[in-house]
Amino acid sequence: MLKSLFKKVLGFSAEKGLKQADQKSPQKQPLSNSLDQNTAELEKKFELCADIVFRKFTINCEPPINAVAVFADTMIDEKIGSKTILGAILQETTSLPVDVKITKSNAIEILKSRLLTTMSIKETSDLLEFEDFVLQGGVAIVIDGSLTALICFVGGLQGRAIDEPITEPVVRGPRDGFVEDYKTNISLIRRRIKSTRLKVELLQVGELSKTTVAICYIKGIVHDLLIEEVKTRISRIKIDVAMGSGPIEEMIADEPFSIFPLIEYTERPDKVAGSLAEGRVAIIVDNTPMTLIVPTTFVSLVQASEDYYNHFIFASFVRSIRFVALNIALLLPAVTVAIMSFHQEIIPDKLLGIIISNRKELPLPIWAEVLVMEMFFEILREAGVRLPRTIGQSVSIVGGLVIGQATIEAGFVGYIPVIVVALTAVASFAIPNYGAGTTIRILRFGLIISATLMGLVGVMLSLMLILFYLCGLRSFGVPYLSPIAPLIPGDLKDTFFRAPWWAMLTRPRFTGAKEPSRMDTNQGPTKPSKGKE
Amino acid sequence: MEQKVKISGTQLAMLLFIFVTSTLVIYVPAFTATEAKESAWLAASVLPFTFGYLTLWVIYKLGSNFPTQTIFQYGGIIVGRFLGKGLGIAYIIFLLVMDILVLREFSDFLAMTTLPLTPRLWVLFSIVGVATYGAYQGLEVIVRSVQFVFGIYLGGFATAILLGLSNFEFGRLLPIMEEGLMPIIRGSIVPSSWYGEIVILAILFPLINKPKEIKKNGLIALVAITVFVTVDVAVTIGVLGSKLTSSFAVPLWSMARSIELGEVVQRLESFLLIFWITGVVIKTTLLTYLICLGFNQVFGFKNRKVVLGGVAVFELFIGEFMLGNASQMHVILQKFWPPFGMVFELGIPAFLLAIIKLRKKNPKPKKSAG
Repeated sequence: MLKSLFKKVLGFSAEKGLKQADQKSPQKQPLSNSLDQNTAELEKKFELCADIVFRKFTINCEPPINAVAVFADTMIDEKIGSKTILGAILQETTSLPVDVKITKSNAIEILKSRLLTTMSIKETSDLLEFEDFVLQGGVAIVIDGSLTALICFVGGLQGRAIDEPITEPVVRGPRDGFVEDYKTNISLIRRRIKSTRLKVELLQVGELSKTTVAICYIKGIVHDLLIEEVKTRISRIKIDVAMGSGPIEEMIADEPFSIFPLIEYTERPDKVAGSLAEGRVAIIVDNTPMTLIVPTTFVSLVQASEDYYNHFIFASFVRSIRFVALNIALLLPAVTVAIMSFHQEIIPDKLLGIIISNRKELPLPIWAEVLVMEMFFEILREAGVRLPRTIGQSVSIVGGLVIGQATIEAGFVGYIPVIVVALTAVASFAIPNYGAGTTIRILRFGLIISATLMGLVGVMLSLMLILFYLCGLRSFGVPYLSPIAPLIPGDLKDTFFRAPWWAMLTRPRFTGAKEPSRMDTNQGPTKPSKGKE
Repeated sequence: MEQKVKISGTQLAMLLFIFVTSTLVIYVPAFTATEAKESAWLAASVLPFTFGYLTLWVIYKLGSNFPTQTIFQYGGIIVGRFLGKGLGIAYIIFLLVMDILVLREFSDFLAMTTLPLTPRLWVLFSIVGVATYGAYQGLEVIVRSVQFVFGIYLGGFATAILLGLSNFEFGRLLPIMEEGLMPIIRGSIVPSSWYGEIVILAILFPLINKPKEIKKNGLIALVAITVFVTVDVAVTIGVLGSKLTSSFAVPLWSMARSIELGEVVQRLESFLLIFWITGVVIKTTLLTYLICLGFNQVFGFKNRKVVLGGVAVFELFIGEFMLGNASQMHVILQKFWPPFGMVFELGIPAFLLAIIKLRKKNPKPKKSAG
């Protein structure tokens, strides 16, 4: 019942569905022999596409052959194009050896092998494919009397330069981050894994957007079933426009309504490379710097790439701090409410005295104060994110200092909720994964409410509920809470603490069981023996 | 019901440990101290362990004869289809009673200690809700949750008991066996019936991945339970003395109250509550799951949602309205539950095993259904 209601609200129904998808069964549309006919056909196709240019020219030979270059002038580098394509064809025909004669039948072959100087050339005889190539930024050359067309890629698409990843900055570690162009992103990964075992497979998603999706994995380490699963899930997507990795993430996740992020996204190529080496699969989506990594476990949301660059003792320390922060961010407001309203006896006498003297004249009960302040903080945070950076600061000053201070001094809210909310906020910033941070924020409100209703009992029952939920989650078949539940002792080396690199001998069991060994044993540094000299 | 799920040996031991101790740990000092006085720790260990081991042995022997079936299924093979159905129903009732008693113990305890103003129905509703959700998620989720909370659960209680040692006086545990053996035997009846709860193995048996190790892992769990409970009882009595222990309804709780380390660490009993909740939730969740499995295997009910909903409503109704007040509950736990439980824990399985043994001695020419 609820389900059908839900479906109605969301606009599902069996009869509807994507009409475009059904109509467009890709039938081949061969190029014809005559240039005029081809040009007419193409002009009809690209009608009212102001960015598509038809450049007609003639190849110098006996008899002259007419040809046309079709390209999107917004997507190519005109300098390179005019030099390597038109320049080559129009000027260099004279420098051909004498015995080479261009005729209609061999024009394509000679152009390809002797004249055009672009690195990447494709041939096609299908108009649909032709269309795709042109829209991807290729320069297509159609020659009279020839059934195939040549596509030269000269690049020149404007893109952002490789920049420091804004969402995941590090102190120690590489500072390059993914950009929007998927080719650059693949190059960033390839730079780190120079092996033929790193495979890159391209898929296309979106009827209109034709977004390129690249699946990267290391053959031999990754489970074949996992790749198959990723591919089937991605090719199942039928959508008009696939905008970045967000929609794809939601459509290939294991659970339709999971609060926890079941797919990790990152801006850092080093993180992706590391994940690939563990037997995971990266999904690069064109036009977004956020690359998806599957499968994901809960623990990997608390791991930062920094951990792998710092000395393992520091990294372990920082990571355990992060777990503490995670718990504070999740639980502190709820536990405060529970203790203050149900279990006052836990509070030591002296502290209780301070609290009572502070709370004597406050109008609201503690749970209302905490809820309101939490809500206020969330609004403040959201306002700070959306505003330009310069105004953002004044938001934090007005919000944090003025309102926070004023509410306390006016006697609306006690000190404790403000301290608690501030602590919670700071702790929640210590969670490296933004998605996981959001989950924690949502759960925090639920926990505050259950603490209001039943104190610590309510908090604990809610936590058990969350635990049951978490234990049931899977990300591409891998239990979300592994390696803690189910317990895999060997994989605990990279959870609450990070083992030294020379002890990270095996890959995680769920993803890397195919080739478990990562390095030779006994590589740990040893003290030089004192006796020998 | 998913039958493919397999529980590993460690998971099984952890599961049994939490399952048995979650009700034992809080109440058992009171029940044993009432009868056995200073020797309560003996009453809580030797005989109950023996009883638990006997149960384990019988269940293991039974299970080895039918390694792919639960007691709901092989009951019918041993005593015939009609009686087997009855047996199945009886076991479902047994599980239901156990579940409701656990729920009531816990909600009464909460009403007594931390949530005096909250309606009991609401408390029951919350726990049953969580348990039903967990059972709906299935056995795999339950065992994984057990693995997750095991450290917290054990660590929490161990810390509480260890901190309790600060008020421990050995003299309170003396004299040993002042009035002979009888009080100890009487005192060990209640804990025995709780140790015997490992009878759930009879249902879990086919779901365990290495059936040969069940005996070993069951024994590990039993030994751990015994050590844990013995220490629990001994420390509680050593701190409170046998008189106080027997007069408190929840002695461990009161013991934790007495802990005081400096000015900051005091009144830790609410933390004890946290650890106890994890155990109780796991226990009721597993029971709910097993009941649901029973309905499936005895009556062939396939729709898990309906069964779970029905069980939840039934439990709420009985738990809230049919069991009287807390002191009546106490009597039920002390007088009614032990014989009732023991019949199902050791009586019926031993009877079934005897039938099998007799049949094997005088094999019938045809394999009749009964």
